[in-house]
Amino acid sequence: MDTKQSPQGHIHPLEHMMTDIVSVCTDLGFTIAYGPEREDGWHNFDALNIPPDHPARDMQDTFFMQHDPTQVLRTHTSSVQIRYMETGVQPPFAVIAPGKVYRQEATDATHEVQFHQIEGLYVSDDASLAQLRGTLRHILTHIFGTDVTMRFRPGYFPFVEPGVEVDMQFQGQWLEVLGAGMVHPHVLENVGIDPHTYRGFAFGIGVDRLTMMRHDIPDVRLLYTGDLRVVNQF
Amino acid sequence: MDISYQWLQSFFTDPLPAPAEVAEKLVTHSFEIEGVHTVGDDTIISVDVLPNRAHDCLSHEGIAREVAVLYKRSLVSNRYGDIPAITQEVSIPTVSLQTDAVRRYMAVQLADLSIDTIPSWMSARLAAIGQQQIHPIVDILNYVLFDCGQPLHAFDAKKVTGEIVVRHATDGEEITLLSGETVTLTPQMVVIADTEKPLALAGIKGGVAAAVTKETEHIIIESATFDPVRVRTTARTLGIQTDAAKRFENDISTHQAAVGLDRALRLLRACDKRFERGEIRDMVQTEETERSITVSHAHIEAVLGGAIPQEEVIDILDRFGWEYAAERDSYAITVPQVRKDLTRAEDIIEEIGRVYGYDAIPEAMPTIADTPTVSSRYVYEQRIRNTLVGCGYSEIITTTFRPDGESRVANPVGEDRPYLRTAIAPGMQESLTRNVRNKDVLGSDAIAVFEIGTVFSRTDEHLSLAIGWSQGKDKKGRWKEELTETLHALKETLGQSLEVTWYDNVVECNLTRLVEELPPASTYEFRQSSVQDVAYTPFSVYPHVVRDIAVWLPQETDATELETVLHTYAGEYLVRPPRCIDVFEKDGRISYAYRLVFQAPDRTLTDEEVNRVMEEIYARIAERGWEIR
Repeated sequence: MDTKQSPQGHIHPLEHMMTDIVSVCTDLGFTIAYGPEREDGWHNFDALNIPPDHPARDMQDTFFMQHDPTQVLRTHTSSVQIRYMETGVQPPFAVIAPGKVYRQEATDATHEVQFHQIEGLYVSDDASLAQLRGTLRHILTHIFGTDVTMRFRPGYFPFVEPGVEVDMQFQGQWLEVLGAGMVHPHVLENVGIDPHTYRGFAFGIGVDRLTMMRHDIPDVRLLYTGDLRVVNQF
Repeated sequence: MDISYQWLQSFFTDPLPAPAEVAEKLVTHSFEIEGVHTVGDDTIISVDVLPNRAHDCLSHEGIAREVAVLYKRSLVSNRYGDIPAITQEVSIPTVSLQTDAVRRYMAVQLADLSIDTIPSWMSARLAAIGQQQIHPIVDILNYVLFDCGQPLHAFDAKKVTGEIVVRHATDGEEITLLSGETVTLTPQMVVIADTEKPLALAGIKGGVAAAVTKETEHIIIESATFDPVRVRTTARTLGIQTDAAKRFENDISTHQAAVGLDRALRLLRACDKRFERGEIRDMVQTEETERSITVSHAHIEAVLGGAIPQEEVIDILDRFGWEYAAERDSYAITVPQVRKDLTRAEDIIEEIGRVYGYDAIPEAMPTIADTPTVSSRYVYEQRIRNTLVGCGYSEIITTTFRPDGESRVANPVGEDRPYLRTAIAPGMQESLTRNVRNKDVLGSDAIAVFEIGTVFSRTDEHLSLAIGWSQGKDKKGRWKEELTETLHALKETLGQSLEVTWYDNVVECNLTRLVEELPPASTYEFRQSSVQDVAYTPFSVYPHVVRDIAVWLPQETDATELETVLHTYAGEYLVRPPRCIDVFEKDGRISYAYRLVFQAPDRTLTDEEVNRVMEEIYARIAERGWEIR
């Protein structure tokens, strides 16, 4: 019998998912890196091969800061990878960057203005798409606790070439779970790494999306209301 | 972009596989498909052409080229008949280019053009992709745009005074567009004009001044290539988006100007056997050249991470129709100017990889040699989380955006929250208030929450930890005692006191600074996550009803017996197991008080319904000889 509140509290489902992903990645040897949420244009765009007149830089998708329009709320945690590489770390290295990111778009059941990502990056003299496949399968299997059926299909992101979309079989359908690819040579050049000697693969995991899939949560906004009727189920 | 299957088929002699199969093939090797649906006799395949291929694939021909590569077919070379011969008497348009924002300008004059209706097959295809018919000549040029991706424009030749001038607008110059709106221009914007007036907004939309009407007999067709940044900026500034602008924005090749004009002339001739046309004026200001890219076979295999036979690579290069010289272990490829996305070896490797099929690539694991540096921030965050959870606190994540703060976004979603939070506390207070209303549904007397997140000053940001506690109407200020105890527990785990700011019943601490002050962590302390199989259950938005019941039990009777009775007879709307909220002893008897919480998923429960349940429970209790207090 309890006259006080229940003894054990609950960790947020997004944080459970992040722990699952971080633990499997650190086991593989990835380092965790962090960076600012309020970013500059170089780290969020230019260094990632997203030039000034690129559609991705439209006012529609990005929050710009009022006092300084060159400052934005980061739209992905790839900016953290740039910062990590700018510290002068030499390949081979593997890094993951977890954190909150922001997109300026109308909210609905599948869109929120803030969400969470974990981006991963591995740079060495022998990185390949085959290794990317193996790594992603390893991570997804750990998250879902079963063998996953996965496919790579062509995708486009300015900072990878080749770029792929990664789908997973889930409840009888193919669901897009990740964007990934081989790091674009421009990106390596931008941080002083020679793309003729080194290559990298990168992947971006949408934590909210995977969490909603794993637990059948119908509306992403439920994750940010601070409502314990959601959190206490986990 | 919506692609008509019938239209796509017109590029091939032999029948294509069924639309769904073609769509699946494209998804696997080329583009994302947003959907496939039938429209009358036709099927529309909605292709999501992303920025890297928008310069050559925003057309049926572009998609057909992809389909040809994937199915190893060739495209039908001429689908629309002969090109009309030149009549010397028809004049060549005089054009003056006064800006380098036009890379190529082609123009030709047609005399005595008369087309009443467009052919039914053209009409059907335009309708299938949702294009309105306006005027036969305009419709034919529109068809060419969706056929090969080149926007064309027609001017009524009689309404063009003197030469055609491609120039910057003058400050404040106005033009009335075909849509009827009059826009004011700036010198950054480029217009097509004659010696008197602007005729069109270059690359975007035509003006009414030289518009083609039913009375038009002679026309000038323009097929040009405009600077993508210029078109994009102008279109954004004026808030106009057109199919033409969309293509120019994506940097189409100057080669397409000739393709489009050629196609238009053939189609017009197919519809009108009698018009005459002059020579084409063709002015090129920007040269585009082919590119030479050399890729080694070893590089291809290294990037893909698996072996791929040379014959496969050569087969793929042949399918694309590129010129190449295959050396012993490398390929010197000449990339046509129309493929502006191919500039280096990695781009070629992507083409080979995707056509070969990414799923044909094996899987491997990288060997990440060194032990990674342990992240102190991560270790301490997790230690704090686990300590707080052990003290009964649950984690929330609230929005970064607030009605006030020091740092404001220029383009907020929702004008009521344009600032970045300076502290987590205000949002946490709101969460506590909301959760307190539901405390019985949650099964608690008090709400205890924490959040770890970023807060922002005007110029800086740092990670913050906020911890909050509330019982709702708490006159005794018990929160202070609770939070102090919790801070003590954290001090024990971390080995250091936390410097906090009190916002009534929320304490907040600069976690960035704390982590810097703590000794560096040396290992991760992961616990197995146990929530993998948790399936979320939606909660009811309808009001809940609370009923408390206290019962004297004889000494030898265990409270669990009472609990079982309550649980068994409380009915289907009991939201959670009965919770003991009080134990009272007097004269050798013990009274146990339980709280029952009722709620329906789809409506508000009535008092009568709940009363009926309670009556049943009282009866069952009386049956056992227990006394209700």
